[in-house]
This record gives sequence, structure tokens and C-alpha cells, in this order.
Amino acid sequence: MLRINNLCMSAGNFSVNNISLSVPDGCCHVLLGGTGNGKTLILETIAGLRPITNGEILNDEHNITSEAPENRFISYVPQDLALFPHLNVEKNIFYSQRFKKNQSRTSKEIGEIIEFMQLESILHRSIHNLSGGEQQRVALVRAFASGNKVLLLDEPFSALHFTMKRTLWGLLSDMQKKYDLSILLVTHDLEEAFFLADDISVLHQGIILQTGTKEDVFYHPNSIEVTKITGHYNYFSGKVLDVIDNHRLINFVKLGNNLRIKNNRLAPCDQVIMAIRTSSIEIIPSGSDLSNLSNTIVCEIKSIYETSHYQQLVLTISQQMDKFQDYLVVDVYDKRNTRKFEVSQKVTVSFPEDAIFIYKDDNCR
Amino acid sequence: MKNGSKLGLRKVSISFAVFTLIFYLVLIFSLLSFISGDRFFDILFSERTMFSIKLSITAAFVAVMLSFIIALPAAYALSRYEFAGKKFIDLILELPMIVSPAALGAIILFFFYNNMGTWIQENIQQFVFTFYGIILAQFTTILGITIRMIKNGFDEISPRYENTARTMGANSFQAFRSISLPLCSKSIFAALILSWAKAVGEFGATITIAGTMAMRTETLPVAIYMRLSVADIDGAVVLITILLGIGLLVLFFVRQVIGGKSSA
Repeated sequence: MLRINNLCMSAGNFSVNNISLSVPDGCCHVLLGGTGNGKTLILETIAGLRPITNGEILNDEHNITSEAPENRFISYVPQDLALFPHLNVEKNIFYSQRFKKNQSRTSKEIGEIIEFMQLESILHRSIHNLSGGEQQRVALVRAFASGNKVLLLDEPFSALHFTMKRTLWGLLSDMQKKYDLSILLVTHDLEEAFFLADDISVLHQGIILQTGTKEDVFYHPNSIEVTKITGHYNYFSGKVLDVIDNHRLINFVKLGNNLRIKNNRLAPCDQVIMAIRTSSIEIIPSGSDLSNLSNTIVCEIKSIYETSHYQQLVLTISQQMDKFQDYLVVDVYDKRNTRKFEVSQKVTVSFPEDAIFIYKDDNCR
Repeated sequence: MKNGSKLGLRKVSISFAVFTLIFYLVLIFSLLSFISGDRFFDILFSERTMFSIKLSITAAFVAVMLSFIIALPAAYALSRYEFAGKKFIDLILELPMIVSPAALGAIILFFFYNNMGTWIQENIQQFVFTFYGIILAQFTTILGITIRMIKNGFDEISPRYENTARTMGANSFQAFRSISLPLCSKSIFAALILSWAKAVGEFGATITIAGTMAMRTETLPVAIYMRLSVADIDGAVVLITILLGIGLLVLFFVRQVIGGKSSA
């Protein structure tokens, strides 16, 4: 188990502050965040390649904060993989065997993982003659072969084709479970994070904004910043008008409407920001009975974009007086493509109450 | 019009490149015109010429080995670490390139006439007018260049390789020996060969420290100078041809090595 307590470090003008997280045995913890937010810095510090200014790092409850990288028993796969160019695949994989360490894997175990990752046929190939996917697999097996149960992976699949990524996610996940590995993985790929993670920490400007299970982080983001990192959202500013039991009636000027939202913390006159996923907004089929639906508004389709598995509608929001005020983006996942939309078509959209996240806007008085 | 101007630039620039080739070929052929067959081999295999060749090759080899011992760790430190005085050290490496070799030799000579230098000469080793003086002169001239060339080799290798090796159980020395050293081996080899060639051709510092003593401190360049000073044109031509041959062979060898350099 890897445990990080209040880790602080800096590189140039950038600093990372009070990072605390844990990666239990057999779990994958994902550090999620955009580029330049300190993800790689954290991994390099945990691996012992950068000095820390404060905090402690524990591997299996042993304090390794001051240990040299070779005595931390933590494997690190950098983003560029750093496969040794003067060694072939086999020598790369068995590199760690040159240094007799307590935790080294046996040749039998390494042979098993080579077979598991389907690398037997390329063992004698030069690193220069491998495809991207093969290089990733060699890097993972090499990290595994060192015998370290903690693996730090820095965006290991970022340069790969989507289908190859999916395959490798599956292989990594299986390998992790089979050998009870603790993996701390850095990525900005939401799908990769959700696929591989047990827990997720969202990193922004060197600070962890939220840590929790992947469901917590994705479905209960604790701040506007977390929503910006964990998905595609629409944002609207509003003001609390009234308190009705454990609901609040909030006016959103740009939506041209009041929405009734479940919340028991906000007070009248509080300024708020609403975030709702582009995929959570529902388009109500024409002719539906709207009497049972709350939080609906009428919009007009401004443009339609199609991807391989969803349609993205950009809607202009119309008030009763048809004053177009702002845009609303809605992703429609309709696998059978049964719903046809046209530009300038009027549609009614609904904001499901459980998909709306409301945050107090501290920037407003 | 645009194509025309491009073609014009191409022709002009290539003609300057060709001029460079012709310039050096004319000089080489004018040298060859002084060679007379029988005398050439007599002089080449004479005891004095063979001594100069042996002395030059041996002194240059020792100078290169000494500079390698210092250059390898120094180049690695300059490439990998940040430390106080690094910029100054980096600057001082250029010293042999900007200071005339004769001036460099004079600086060494002056050193041996101060208290510390005199003590070294009297108690450790006599350098002035000796074989050791030749080695010191060559060592002084090539050390900075050797460090610079090896450092460039290390600069080309990402530190990530060593970092990754360390997370797999290698300590810093093991990571250096098993990763950076083999990856940099061709650059190191090329640096040593070029330094050796430069040491063989070193004249200014050598003559200032070791003087011009026939069959004692007579390296190839010193021998050329000595032969020219007594108007022994045939002798000078033979020695110049030997130096030229060594230089061209070294360049060819280095190109072969660099040509097959691994992409680290």
C-alpha cells in the first residue's frame, strides 16, 4: 500500500501543496487533471527523482521519504516510457534482474507475464522496431518485472490509438488484479480514468480538489473546478429566490426561467452557479405531456454536430418573448439514431433534478 | 522569378563549397609535387622520423587517457547536475580554443617558475624540456575540448533513462554504467579519437614547454618546424604528409563511428 501524507514540492515557480492520498494493495488510484497541474511532478517525487519540501511517503508502512529511488521499491513508467534503446525487448524486461533486490520477481513469474502480455514473439526485437502498443506493453512488463508492487504510470497510453488503448486498459486491469499491484496512474483522459480507477483524485494547480471513489468524483463533483475537469458541462449563474421545504427556487437570467432544485443549504439572495452535464439534459419528444415535468425550457436548435456515437446540439435559449440569450449544449446518445433533429427546430429540454449541481458563487456579493 | 532566385542562391552557395574543396586540394597537391620517390621512403623510415612518430603517438595517447579520466566524470557532472560555478567551468572549457597554444604553453612554463611549480619540478617530476612536458602541453590543450565533446554526448541522452533504471533497482553508479555510458559510448569514442588527433598535431604549447631537442622532444609538428628551420624541405614534406595522413584517417574513422550512432 502506498500512502502519501501532506506532500509538498516545487519545481521552478510551480509548487504542489499538501498532497495526501493512498493506494491500497490491488487498487488503482488515478490522478486526474489537465496538463501543467503537477501530475508528473508528484509521480517523480514519489519515485524519489525530485526532492520534497514537506510531507512523507510510505510504502507498506515503511517511511521511504528520504530513501534513494532504488530503495523505494516503486516502479515508474514515464510518459515517453524510457525503454532503453541499446537493449532489446528481453534485456529491457530483465534489466532489474541485474540488481539483486529482495522483491525481484522470479524468471518464472516474468515468463508468465510476458506470455500474458503476448510478448513472446518479440523478445529479441530491437526497441526501435516496436509499434506503440508493443512499446507500452514492454514498459509495463519491465516495471512489473522489477518486483515492485507499487507502479507509477504517467499517461502511459496517451499516444495510442483508441482501440489499442481499450485493449491495454483491459490487460493492465487484469494484470493489476492478478498480481495485487497498487497503481497510481496519471491521466487527463476521462474514459481511461473511469475504466481503470478505483479511486480518483482531481488535481488543479498543484492542489487536490477532490478525492474519492470514481463514482463520487464523477457523479458528485464538489466544486465548479472539479466539474470542469471531469466532464462537459453547461454553466449558468443564478440567484436564490425562495426556500420551499428542502428545495430552492432559483432564477437563472440566461435561461430565462426559474428552476426548482433540491438543496437545503442555500439561503434567499445567495448567488449560485449551476452546472449540468451536456449528456444529462433531456430533450422531450414533441407531443409529450409536460405537466409532470419540472424544470423545462423551450429552445431552438442552432447547430447540430455528429460524432460516431452521439449528436451534439447547440441550442439557443428562448424566453417567452423569443429573446435569444445564450447557448445550451446537449449531447444526445441515441444509438439507433431514431431521433431526427433539424436546425431551427424548437425543442423542449428538461433539467433532471438529480443531474443539477449547484455551487455557491463566492465571487458575487 | 522565385524559382530563379532560389536556383541562383543554390549555384552561388555550392560554388563557395566547391571553392573550399579546391583550395585545400591545391594546397595538398602542391605539397605532393615536392615528394621525390626514393628520398621519401628513406626519410620516412629513418630513425629520427620513426622516433618523432612514436613520440607523438605515445605522448598523445597518454595525454588522451589522462584527459579521459578527468573528462568523463566532469562532462557527466556538467551535463546532469546544477552546482555552484558550473557556468564558470563551462566557460573555461573554451580556454584552449580562444587562447593561442603558444600562450597556453607560456602560461604553463611560467607556472613552473613560481614556488609551487619549482617544488613540483624538484620533488615530483621534471616537466620542462622533457617527455612529460609534451604530455602536459597536449593534455592542457585537449582537456577542455574532450570534456565539451563528451558533455555534448551526454546532453543527447535523456536523464529519464537513468531515472527509470534507478526505480528498477540500479543505484546511481549502476545506472550510469549500464545506461548512460553505453548510450554515450560512440560520442566518447569519437571525442577521444579527435582529441588524440589534435594532441598529435599540437605544436605551440609543446615547443614552449618541451623545446626543440632532436631525438628527445621532437614530436611530428616540432620536427616539421626543425626541418624547415634548416631548409630540409624533403624531410618537412614527409612529416607533413604523415600528419595529413593521420588526420584524414582519423576523420574517416570518426565519420564511420558517428554514422552508426544509435538514436538515444
